[in-house]
Amino acid sequence: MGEVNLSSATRAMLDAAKRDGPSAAARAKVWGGVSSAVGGMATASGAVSAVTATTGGMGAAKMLALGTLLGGTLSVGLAATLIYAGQTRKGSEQTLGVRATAGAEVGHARAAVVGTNESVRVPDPVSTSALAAATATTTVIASKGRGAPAAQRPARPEDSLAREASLVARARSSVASGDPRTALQAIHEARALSSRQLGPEELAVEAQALRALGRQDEANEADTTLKEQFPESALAR
Amino acid sequence: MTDLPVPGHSGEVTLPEALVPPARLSRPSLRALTVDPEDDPRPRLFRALYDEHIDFVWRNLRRLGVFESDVEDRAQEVFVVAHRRFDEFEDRGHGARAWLFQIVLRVASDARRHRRRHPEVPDGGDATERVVVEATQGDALARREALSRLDAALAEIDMDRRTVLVLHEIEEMTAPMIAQALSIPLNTVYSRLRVARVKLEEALARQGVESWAR
Repeated sequence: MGEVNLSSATRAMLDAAKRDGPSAAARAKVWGGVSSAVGGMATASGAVSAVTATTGGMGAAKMLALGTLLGGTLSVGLAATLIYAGQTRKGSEQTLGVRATAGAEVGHARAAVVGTNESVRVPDPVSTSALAAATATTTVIASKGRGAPAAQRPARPEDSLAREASLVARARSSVASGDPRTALQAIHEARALSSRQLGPEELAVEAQALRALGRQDEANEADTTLKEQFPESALAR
Repeated sequence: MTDLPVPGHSGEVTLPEALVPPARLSRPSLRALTVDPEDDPRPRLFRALYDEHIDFVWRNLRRLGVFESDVEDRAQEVFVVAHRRFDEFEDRGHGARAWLFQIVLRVASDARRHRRRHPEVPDGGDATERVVVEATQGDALARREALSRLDAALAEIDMDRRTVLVLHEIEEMTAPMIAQALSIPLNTVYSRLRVARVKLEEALARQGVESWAR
């Protein structure tokens, strides 16, 4: 195909590229991230239902965070989340970080969906907790998990999500209060996190901040990225 | 529907039955969420899709300009999008690779755009670190150097031509397959490939590729 013949040296490079791929560790790491992000459907088998919510991929934890972000402006009608709660609960109530279970722990998580009118399979709910920062109508039903308390665990993707949600919320409020530079700073901080799930929200706020700074071209670029990358996001429409 | 190419192999093999996604599953309803997970084949299918194509996704992200320090996150992003659209996947003869490649193209484009806008941390030092950790053997180091040179040369080729070149020369897809996967005329595939080959040779010559080949 094509009349131009490649040199043997080039061929050797292309052959090397054919064998390129992730290491076993990277492969496992990526899979862990995918599994976490999609809320567990990606596990081969689970002790609980994998909630592949109607909204698809980014899954439950993201919806919860979205509720946090949008606060009173938007009522999240339906939120799904996988919650991991440490075994050592104190009392019937406890504060939870948003924990989208990942990897092996998926098998021990319980999924709960609480919506305005529908409640989907809540196996073994043990307590009701509210995400401290959440001001939306999202309700979380916490459930059992295994393992050590959160304080004894290393940072996990869900911790990044809580941080990411906080940063995006800060960016939004900064834009609203006429401080787009702080908003951009918050967005950049969010993008430096190890695990990100609020890409559309970040792009939308970034576009607003750039526009407020008169950087129209970059704002348009952010909008374009949002539409290309997240065409199904309400923010892209 | 079952004859899908396997990445990294020149020939085509029959896809294991477990890999064949159900034809156009309806979007899951809330009721579907209550179905016993043991009866839901999608997690198994998706896992099989991942196992079969992660290498393909990974190397194409790299060849399409995604930095090494970003490639894990971007590969994850590809499969998260694939998962979101898994129910919509319908094999129209393109195969799973063509479908995934469309996602790879968009994710890689976003990654490049992001890097252009945020060039302050070009590679985060991760790539260098990995070289130290992984390249414990001489041949591994040589291969990594070759890939670096190749990627640098590929970066000089515009994305449309580069895409055709990568699919043909690395993924060993035929021109009709590429035309179908990219929804472009067959003659366009040939012309892009011809120009891309010339540009690749020129770019490598400028890098002194001969020294690597020795």
